[in-house]
Amino acid sequence: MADPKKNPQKERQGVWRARGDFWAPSAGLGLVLREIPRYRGRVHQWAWVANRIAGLGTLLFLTIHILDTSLVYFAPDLYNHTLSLYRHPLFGIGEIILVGMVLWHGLNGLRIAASDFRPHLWAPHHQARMILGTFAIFLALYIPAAVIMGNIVLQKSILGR
Amino acid sequence: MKVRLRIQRFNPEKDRKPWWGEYEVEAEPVDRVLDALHYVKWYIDGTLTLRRSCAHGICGSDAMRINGRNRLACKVLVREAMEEGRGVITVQPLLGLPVIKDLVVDMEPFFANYRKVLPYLINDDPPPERERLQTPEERERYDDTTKCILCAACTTSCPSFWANREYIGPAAIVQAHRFIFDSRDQGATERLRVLNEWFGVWRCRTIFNCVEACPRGINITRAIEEVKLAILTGRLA
Ligand code: SF4
Ligand code: FES
Repeated sequence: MADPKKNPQKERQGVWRARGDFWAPSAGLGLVLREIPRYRGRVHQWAWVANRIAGLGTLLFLTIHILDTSLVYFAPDLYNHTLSLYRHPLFGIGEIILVGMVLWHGLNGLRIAASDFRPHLWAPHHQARMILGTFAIFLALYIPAAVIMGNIVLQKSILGR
Repeated sequence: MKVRLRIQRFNPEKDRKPWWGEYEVEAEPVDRVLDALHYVKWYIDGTLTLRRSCAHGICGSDAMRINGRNRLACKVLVREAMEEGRGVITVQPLLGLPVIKDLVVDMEPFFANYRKVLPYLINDDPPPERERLQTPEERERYDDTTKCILCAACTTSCPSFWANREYIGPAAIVQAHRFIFDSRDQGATERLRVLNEWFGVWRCRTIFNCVEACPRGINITRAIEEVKLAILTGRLA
């Protein structure tokens, strides 16, 4: 808090910035995470958010996958143990989500790449339509895939067949 | 009609953090949000601080976040804002620039980025007898980006800018575009070099918040994509 006595108006002219007499939220991931749900962007913003989540999720999977595969070399016993863990239905469900993330990230990436060399496509209404189209393709591919995979998870890990 | 306003307040001499002030004012449905803010300042609490000059969408000084979206207070009708906010109009300063007081932000970081793109005509040829001529098509090429009024609504709506204030921001790119594609200008190489830097044009993730926010209806993302293409291909088509 600024002390008004030490801070008369004329002294404030031009020096307030150096004194830090203002309020600013610190920039960074925290601000983005806090403000994205509050800022009322449209479908384009949400397509980007979904793209980021899907991308990060896929990256997380890849990291884990590289680590567990490297166990083959370093600790074969542990590797076998890990594989048996993966048979748990939770991992089956995780796989279904993973497929969704890879699919969305890929399709959305194709939309952006396809538009990148045609600047006239970068109009909000065009992109909104393309995003909805991408989402439709995503659902058309993902729903059957998820049903098939879900079925397998159910059969194998829960009913034990 | 009765209008309820929630305004983010901050007085650097008293407050450590912003707080919400709630006000109720009487307004015509076709008044602008700016009129409602004036009412608060003139009749309820004279300490409320905001910027505005023209009050007609020309000067770009009253960009603020209204109901969670950046726009000019002088271009939003109270009726629409009330509907949108379900009975309350929420008013905040632009996000990402330091708040000096209430709704007034320090625009200097924004203008610093603006200056980086050399926003003036660069042409070392001796001036011709009369004006530097240009065909209507050549003029049309950058028409959209001439409309910018430097209100900062776009830059402060951009998650990339929230994440990193070094990002040069959509407004500066719009201004660069205005000169890069001007047939009379010779500074494109230098501007493209600036925009090709780490915090230049590639920080744009095509989120489109800027386009939605721009009170002049500029297709900012398209301008940014055109600059990206120009950097990639070296052509100013
Ligand atoms: S491009 Fe539009 S939103 Fe951005 S500063 Fe210019 S007028 Fe304002
Ligand atoms: S006061 Fe000038 S643009 Fe709103």
